[in-house]
Amino acid sequence: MNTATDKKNLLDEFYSTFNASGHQTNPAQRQAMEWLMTKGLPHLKSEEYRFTPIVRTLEKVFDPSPGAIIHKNVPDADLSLIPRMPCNVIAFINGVFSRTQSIILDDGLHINSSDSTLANEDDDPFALLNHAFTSESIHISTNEGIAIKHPVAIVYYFDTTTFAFSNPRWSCTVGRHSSLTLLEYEINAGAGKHFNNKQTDILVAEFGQLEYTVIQNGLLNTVQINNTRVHLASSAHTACFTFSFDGQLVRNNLTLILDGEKIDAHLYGLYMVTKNTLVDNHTVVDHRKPNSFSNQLYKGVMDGNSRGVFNGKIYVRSNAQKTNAFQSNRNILLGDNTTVNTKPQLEIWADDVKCSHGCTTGQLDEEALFYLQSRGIGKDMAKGMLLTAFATETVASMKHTVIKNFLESIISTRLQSSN
Amino acid sequence: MGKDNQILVEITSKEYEHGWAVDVDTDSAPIGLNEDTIRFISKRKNEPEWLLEWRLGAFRTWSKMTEPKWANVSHPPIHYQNIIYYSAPKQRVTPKSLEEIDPEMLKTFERLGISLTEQKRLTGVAVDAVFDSVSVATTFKDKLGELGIVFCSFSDAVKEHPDLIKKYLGSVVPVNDNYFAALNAAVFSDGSFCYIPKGVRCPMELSTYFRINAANTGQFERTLIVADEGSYVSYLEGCTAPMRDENQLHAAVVEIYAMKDAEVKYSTVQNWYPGNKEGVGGIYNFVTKRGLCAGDHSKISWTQVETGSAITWKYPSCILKGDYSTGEFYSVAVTNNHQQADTGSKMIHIGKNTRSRIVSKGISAGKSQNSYRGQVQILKRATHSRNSSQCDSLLMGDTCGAHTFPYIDVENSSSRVEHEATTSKIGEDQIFYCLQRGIDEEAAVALIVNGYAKEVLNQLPMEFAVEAQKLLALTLEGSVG
Repeated sequence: MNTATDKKNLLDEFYSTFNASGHQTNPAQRQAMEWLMTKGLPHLKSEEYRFTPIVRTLEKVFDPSPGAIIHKNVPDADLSLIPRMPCNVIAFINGVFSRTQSIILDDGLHINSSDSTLANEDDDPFALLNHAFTSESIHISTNEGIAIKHPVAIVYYFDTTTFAFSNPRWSCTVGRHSSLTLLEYEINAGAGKHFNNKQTDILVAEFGQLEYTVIQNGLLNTVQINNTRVHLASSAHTACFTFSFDGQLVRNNLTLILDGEKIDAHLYGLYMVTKNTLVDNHTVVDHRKPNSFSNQLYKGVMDGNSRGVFNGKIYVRSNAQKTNAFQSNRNILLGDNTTVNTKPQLEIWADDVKCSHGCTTGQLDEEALFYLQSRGIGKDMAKGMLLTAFATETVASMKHTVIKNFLESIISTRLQSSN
Repeated sequence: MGKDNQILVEITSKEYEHGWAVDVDTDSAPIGLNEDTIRFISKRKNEPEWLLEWRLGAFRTWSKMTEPKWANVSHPPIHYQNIIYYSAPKQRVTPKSLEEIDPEMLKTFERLGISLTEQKRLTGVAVDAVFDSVSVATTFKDKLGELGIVFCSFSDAVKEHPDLIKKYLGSVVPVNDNYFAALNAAVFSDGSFCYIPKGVRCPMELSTYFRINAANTGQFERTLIVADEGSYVSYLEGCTAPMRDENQLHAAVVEIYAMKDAEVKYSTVQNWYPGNKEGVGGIYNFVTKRGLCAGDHSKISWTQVETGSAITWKYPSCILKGDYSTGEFYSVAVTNNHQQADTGSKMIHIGKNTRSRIVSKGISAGKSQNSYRGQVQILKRATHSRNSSQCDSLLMGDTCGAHTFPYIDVENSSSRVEHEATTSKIGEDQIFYCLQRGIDEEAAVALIVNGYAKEVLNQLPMEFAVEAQKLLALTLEGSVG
């Protein structure tokens, strides 16, 4: 037994917060909470959280007694990240879905509340936590055979001055032969801390197309955990982009299940961080059927005391013959106090496959730098050019040009300001 | 498909050629493990008090540890109390020359193709043979002695060079390093010791040959190699065991200590009994191998060809402590039938400007599982360090698996790390190319597999390269998926 200390156990704090909340009467949520209590939170010895001191960080950030969170009306313009880009908007204000703030522009796009998803005992502890605390599960769906014109923006808006414990949950179904662009980001209007523990389930039906971009630009004292699962049916095409720029600790669990043939799946990630930011990307690409293709490219540019963690798993099940699965993780370390922990993992049970992974960690190429300098370009500018070229490779294949241009400009601005 | 199946059947039904046992009277410790067993071993070996204490300390540490579960292998629980921890061929007197050695045992080594009789001087290999738990004979001892090289069994070394043993035993693999290393430290029976003095280049390959013969025994040998400043040695290790239905445990420890400017090359051809094709029997090979590049500009190179054992659990590693030191790891791991291998390397960069290279080639066939698990760690002060790793897997058939678990941790901005891994099968186009030129399928596969493993086989000394190629052909020839 623990002796009495001032520092309260985080799990106990979750438990007492749960018991004081309205969720405790819901049997499914109670079950999820009980499972979490049995399972416990991950510690540094847990293989999946080896480099991510998530509990220690949360203990500092988590505040069980935040002041009353006021749901004021947010002007529509304040919810947008990219100016002059019309979007369908799904708004979570301080972690709670707001129907009044959400906007639907396109026909064939539907937003419902659903509670059909159930927790599973084997889920990640933070997925269970989300289950226990989520207020409403939002379901986004499209009709069949339709191209949704405007992107769907999923906005997490925070305006607290104290602390927000946010457990948003949404799912999405892209219908057969339909296409959809999702854009997910945070807006921080207040200076308060928050812990955003998100859970998402996406289904892309046959011949569906999805482009899903996540921009992580939280404040320095925020913790984000993103549990995202994408289920792909035959001939589906999907591209997931994850950009992590800020935050104290960002953990992304992105799982793609390729449960059909002739699927085309692309994962791109960029973590461009400084200060004490820790970004941890865990990806899983699970090839369950034959004849599919997957490609992952994750890049890191790190400065300050930042740490980048990448763990990419590729599973090729025994009947997933003729699979092509590729993965690449490349890092540039700018500061001497930066750390990279990467673990590209291949697990293959089928023989007629082509799989590869590569990973590099290093610096800018001295010769390339010299080449530019010898042509009269200053060292800082040359560095900026090379880094921009390195980083923007992750957006190169994005189809939505407005989002793409926006990201390119963020990347180059940040790289120039860092020099 | 019909031909493929036929070939697969042929290859999977191939017998283990070293699977015979000989009747040699043995002197064994009572079954089980407790402090008395350790006292028994220590007493049998006439060990000094400090070594007994060291063993007992290791045993106490081991008793508090739990068996690691993280390896990607599965096996029934090991009953550590059902193992005989010490088994020595019975001899009345210590053999002074080969004539006094049990002829049955000499025959054993003859059958294995290992010459203890120094007739084959041309091969130029000095051998230390370990039979069950005890070192049987060491050849070329006098010739090496002229150069000041010490190459003898571990028990002799304890008697003749206690200072060296005291200083370096456990200096690279501490007692509490891991579960099996602690077990080995408690019960290790014999092994080889080698010391190369300052500036000496060992003129011949040194070799240890291990054989488990008695039933129910575990083999726990310990090898310690100390290379003094500016010296060089190339060391070979080979192993076989008879076919038995039960699983036997082999938990060895190899420690290499390389001082300034020293170079040690350690090659292994591991061919323990892998069990029959239903996966019954076979050796559990849980080995800790580690080298310490203690001095600047030192170099340690591991080369291994792993074809045997029911389960292999082995990660030869280098701790690159000296500045400008180099670590290398070359491996071919072949698994067939129900074999499981979880093997790889660890490179810990501590000194500045340290370099390491990993080349790992896995080949899985039958119902086997082959994993590469490696770690490259570049510490903050190891500036301007460099690592390049390459691990490739070749799959034959859809009932086996290949897994890669590389951990790469970099803590400074001036180092460079590259890692690359691929998984594929033998291309139909490659086979077709050979067939078109009149090379039949069997020969084509042998050609391609040999080419695939060549980068590693090239690192082996001549004598071993031939054996390794034969082993590869025996295990894999024709099993094209």
